[in-house]
Amino acid sequence: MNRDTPRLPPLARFGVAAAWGFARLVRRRKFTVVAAVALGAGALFGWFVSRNQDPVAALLELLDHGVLGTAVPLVALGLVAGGFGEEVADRTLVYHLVRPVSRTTLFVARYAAGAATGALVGAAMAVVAHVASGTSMGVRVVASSALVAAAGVATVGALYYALAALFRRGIVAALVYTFVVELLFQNMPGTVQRLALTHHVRSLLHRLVDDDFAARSDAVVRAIADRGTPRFDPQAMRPIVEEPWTTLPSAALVCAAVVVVSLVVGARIVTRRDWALKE
Amino acid sequence: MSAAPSVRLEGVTKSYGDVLAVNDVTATFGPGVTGLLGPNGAGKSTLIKLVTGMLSPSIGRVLLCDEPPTSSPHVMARVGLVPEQDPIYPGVSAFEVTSYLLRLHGLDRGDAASRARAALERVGLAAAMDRPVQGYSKGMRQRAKLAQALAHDPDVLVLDEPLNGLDPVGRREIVALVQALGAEGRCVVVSSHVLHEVEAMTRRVLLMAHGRVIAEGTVAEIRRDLSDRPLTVRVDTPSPREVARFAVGVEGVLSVDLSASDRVVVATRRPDDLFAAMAGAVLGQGLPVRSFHPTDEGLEAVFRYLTAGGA
Repeated sequence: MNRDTPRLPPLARFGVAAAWGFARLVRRRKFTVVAAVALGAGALFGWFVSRNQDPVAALLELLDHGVLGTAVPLVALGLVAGGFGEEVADRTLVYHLVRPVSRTTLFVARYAAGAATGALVGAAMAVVAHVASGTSMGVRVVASSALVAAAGVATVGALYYALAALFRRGIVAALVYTFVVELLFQNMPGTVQRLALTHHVRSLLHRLVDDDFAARSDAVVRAIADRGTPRFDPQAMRPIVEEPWTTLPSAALVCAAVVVVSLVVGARIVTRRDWALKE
Repeated sequence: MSAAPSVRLEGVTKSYGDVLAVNDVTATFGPGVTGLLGPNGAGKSTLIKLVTGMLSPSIGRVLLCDEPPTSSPHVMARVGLVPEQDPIYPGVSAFEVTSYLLRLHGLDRGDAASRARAALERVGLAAAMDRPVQGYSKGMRQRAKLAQALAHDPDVLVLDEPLNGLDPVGRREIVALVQALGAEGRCVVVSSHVLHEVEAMTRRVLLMAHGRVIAEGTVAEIRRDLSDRPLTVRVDTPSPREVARFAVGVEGVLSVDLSASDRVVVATRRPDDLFAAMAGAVLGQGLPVRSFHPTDEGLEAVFRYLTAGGA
């Protein structure tokens, strides 16, 4: 019988729990579906880009709006948000709650597993889009795009993960955030746009690759010049000003802060919650 | 050395909104097997979740080996739980799950694998341990749950309805296993709503109903306390009046219900006397009786009686 019950150091057995979560997630059907759809979409839209008159500018649009603006939140929703909830839904959380592992460790480990899986899919999608576009932007640009997509999934996923811990229907809350709150902020004038999380994620991309794209496309040069300048939006029927991209350190700091705060808040909720785990 | 294996509840109340799931329970579970008995909805599962730290008490405190389980994850190294529900990782074998859970106790991969194998062999799953759990029968899942609870050699074992879904042979094996674990000095708490299941494992029980502990002690002590409880007996007969006339003459009979045309319901404080007299009358005097059987000797009826003020 076990007589020794030493107190646990912070995040003890994090690696074991995270590795298990990762292994479980990549064996789930939803991983296969999300990965296949993401890579398929990356290839398809990349091919469309290759047929554009200015494929370089079109590729930047695809990475900005298609990958970071749309695919990254969806991948985060599919692979990161529900990590802890799956243990509840499968009723397997009960096995973890009676182990010498803190709930904070379990919570963070499941996030890490989901974020790593989602980041792989996001990065792969960005690479596939590059390859399918046939633009040959160079290894640095492709790697930067992949890195930002991965960081985007991890950042947005952390927020969704916390929402899933906070609300009973966390996925619905994440959807509302993505398609209502984020869009609202993105379309508000001036600095309010900075309240949108994706603004900072997209800033990472633009700060890392804009110069490379501008070197090969006049349209990109014009787009960079237009940002921050008031212009009339014919669709919205009103003048708009696109907020300049956040600097690279600021954007990275905001993303890191969102991850940390989301995990701290979520872990606090999970630690204090009663787990009745009814059938 | 750390505290002896024990579970202590001191004035514990757990409420969900207006519903009191557990109401002012004070109890101690020490070494050996203790049965936690009660009908469905009595509060047994809530009590188990309080003991294993899944729930925090609204009032009072729970101590597991002298430490509060909700805020002391390290004490969980000493606990094994067989949950009532069937948690399943899709596509994962019992061996994989048990090995992984052992690694959460700090064991390396090799040690975890060998101990998982030993635990699964001990519960009789040697041949099926590498198959996905989702393909298991109910009884096999029950054994898998037992294996993960035993594998890390815990001091305190909490078993929620451990015999659910087991065939008679399986039940015998698990009963023997539970008895052996208790004899080793572990604190074993077994929850069930079936009296004879618990009786097979232990003499010491704690009865719950409506969230309260309504009796505790050995089964014999509780039975003695219940000896005055009136028992109702249903007698199926084509001549209810004739049977009723006979029944009212038997000592201990309190009332006779004649409201149905094909049966009589008799309330008695001395059911053994009634059964003996009726058997004798059927054989000796040709009393027209098709069958007779108690209608409320189950645990539910015992609880109804105790909670109605008989305790």
